[in-house]
Amino acid sequence: MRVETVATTEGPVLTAEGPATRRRPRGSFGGTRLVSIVAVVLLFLFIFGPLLWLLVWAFVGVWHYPALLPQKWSLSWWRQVFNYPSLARSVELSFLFAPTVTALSAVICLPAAYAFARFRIPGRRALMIILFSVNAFPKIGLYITIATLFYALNLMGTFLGVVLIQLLGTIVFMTWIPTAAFAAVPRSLEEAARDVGASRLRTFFTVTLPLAAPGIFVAMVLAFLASLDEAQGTFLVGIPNYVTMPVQMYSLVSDYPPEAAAVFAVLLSVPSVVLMLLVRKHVMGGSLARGFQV
Amino acid sequence: MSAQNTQGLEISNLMKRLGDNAVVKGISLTARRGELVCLLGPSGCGKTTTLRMIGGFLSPDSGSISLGGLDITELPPERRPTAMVFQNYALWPHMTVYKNVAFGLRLRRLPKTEINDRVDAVLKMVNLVHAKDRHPGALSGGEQQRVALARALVLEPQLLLLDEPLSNLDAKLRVEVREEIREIQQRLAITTVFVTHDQDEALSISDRIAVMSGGRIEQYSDPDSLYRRPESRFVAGFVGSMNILSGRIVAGGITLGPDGVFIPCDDAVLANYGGDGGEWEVAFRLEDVDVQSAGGLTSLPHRGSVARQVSHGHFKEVLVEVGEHTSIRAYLGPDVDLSGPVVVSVRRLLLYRDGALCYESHPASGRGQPTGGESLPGGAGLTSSSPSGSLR
Repeated sequence: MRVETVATTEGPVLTAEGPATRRRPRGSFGGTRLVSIVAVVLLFLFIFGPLLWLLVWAFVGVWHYPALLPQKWSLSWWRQVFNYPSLARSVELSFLFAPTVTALSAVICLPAAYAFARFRIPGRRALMIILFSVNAFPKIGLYITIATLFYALNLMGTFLGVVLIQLLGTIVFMTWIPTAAFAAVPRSLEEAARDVGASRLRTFFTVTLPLAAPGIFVAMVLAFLASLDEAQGTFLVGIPNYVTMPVQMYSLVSDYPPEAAAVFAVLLSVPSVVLMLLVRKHVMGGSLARGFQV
Repeated sequence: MSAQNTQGLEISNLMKRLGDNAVVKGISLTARRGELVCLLGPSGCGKTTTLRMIGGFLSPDSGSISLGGLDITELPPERRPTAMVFQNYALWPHMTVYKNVAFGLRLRRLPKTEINDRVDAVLKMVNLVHAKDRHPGALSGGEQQRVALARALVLEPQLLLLDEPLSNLDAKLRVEVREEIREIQQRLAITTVFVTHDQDEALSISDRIAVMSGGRIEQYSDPDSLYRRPESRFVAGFVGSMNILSGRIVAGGITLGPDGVFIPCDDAVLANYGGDGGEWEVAFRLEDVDVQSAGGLTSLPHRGSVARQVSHGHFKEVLVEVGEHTSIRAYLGPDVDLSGPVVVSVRRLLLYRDGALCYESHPASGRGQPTGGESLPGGAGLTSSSPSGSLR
């Protein structure tokens, strides 16, 4: 959902990049160094430009065309959003679903990940790629098919139904990344623990799990964020009983001017940004990259 | 192999298949209490597989392992009185040195003070008291190696298993650490099985060495016998440097190689023994070769020339071409200078046929003796477990 917001605000940002792009030919005789600096700036603008744009929009009082910045700043839209009747409820719901989905996903996927990493499973590769197929097709088609199934099972509009639909999106990385994390723990470390007298279970909890923890942690954060941002499936299954923050944004976008949507989008980004900063070290450490080497 | 002298390790007829590959094909071996036994062989000979079966990390397809008279074949690793030092040390990177060493004791639910005392004592023994609170990642390779050793020793195991523990250390450190290991092993009188592919290592620290090849033990004997009297052609080629050439026995010596170069050997019995005119594999150590300046003796048939000299500091290795297709390597003193034609003779040699040792000459008495050509490779070594050369 957030991504869609970003896409709609991309247009003006790209025109703002115009001068930077025109500077490029001049850089070519200045040396490759200048070219790389320009590339970095462009990339930076491409990633942060829309976010910056969003942030400006969230504080707009008056802003008329050719001005580069708003003529008048204001917090009025924040007040509007905070006074929005179902906002608190949607925040509450989002932070109820995200931990539930993450925990359930961990319970289902971590044992599978351990098995993929440690036991010889026939068709291991094929099984892991099948998991990926959930993400390989347009989700909305999948959700509609599932919705018919959910109607039959009376899961539409239920808590469990929303949890299940959100779970779908987390399965892949919740399996792949921890599989790599478990596989990266040298067997000899486990053998050494057995050798000094630890049982299989004790070995798992004292040696394997702590060493795989960074990878598992990254996967759990991603699952948490995926659940927090999931809109399509939640909208389809949860409406009208379970309106989470991203679903709420749909109605905000249609009912209010862009300023309100911007405020809400900023709010929605806060948990993601905080969590990503928290796990930055582990993501940089390659746990994420390792997860995608099946 | 009666009950009272097998307080140590007794392995009988161990076999293991991994996939389609028979890795260990029937290994029997005993180690007396307090003895350090080496499993020596090239990679893929089954030595590590054997060690892993002793440690309980692999279960044998057949055969049995007993320790102190107790059958441990079916026990999982955590219930065996063995402790292993892994090739890559396998230290737990998320625990400090202290915790690494103490983990096994904590599992045994010992009182905290006793754990402290024992960890301190063993860290002192391996000179690592200063590194107690560091993590393995902050230690050098040699220090990590000592932590691994301490972690194994602190449990006071009945049997210490070492899987190529020195292979990741640089050459100088390797010699130091192996002497340390030997010293500690002897002080604690702990039965030890040491796996290595490095013959130097094996020869220098073992009480007995089992040379393995293709999943079988080729020879099991003390280092001196192993070096002086390799019982099979394989061992002769694997342990130490050896000239091995095909040759025939003639009066006063041997004729070697395709050129049939005559090399004198001062062994009176040799001619009688090998006089069947057949071809032998003749093996002699580099230090058993005499190379002398030919001087005026230019008419002798066995004169040759030094093709290459390699200085090793305290000795010199030379390659002597004695015939067009035949060359002999020899160790000589560092100051020997050989230019011009040389004559070569051999003081002591061994004869092999069909891979088995058939004859060895004893230059001291000037007499050699047949070894009994029927002795199978490995078979003799297993039963004659009385090391004549006493190292201990």
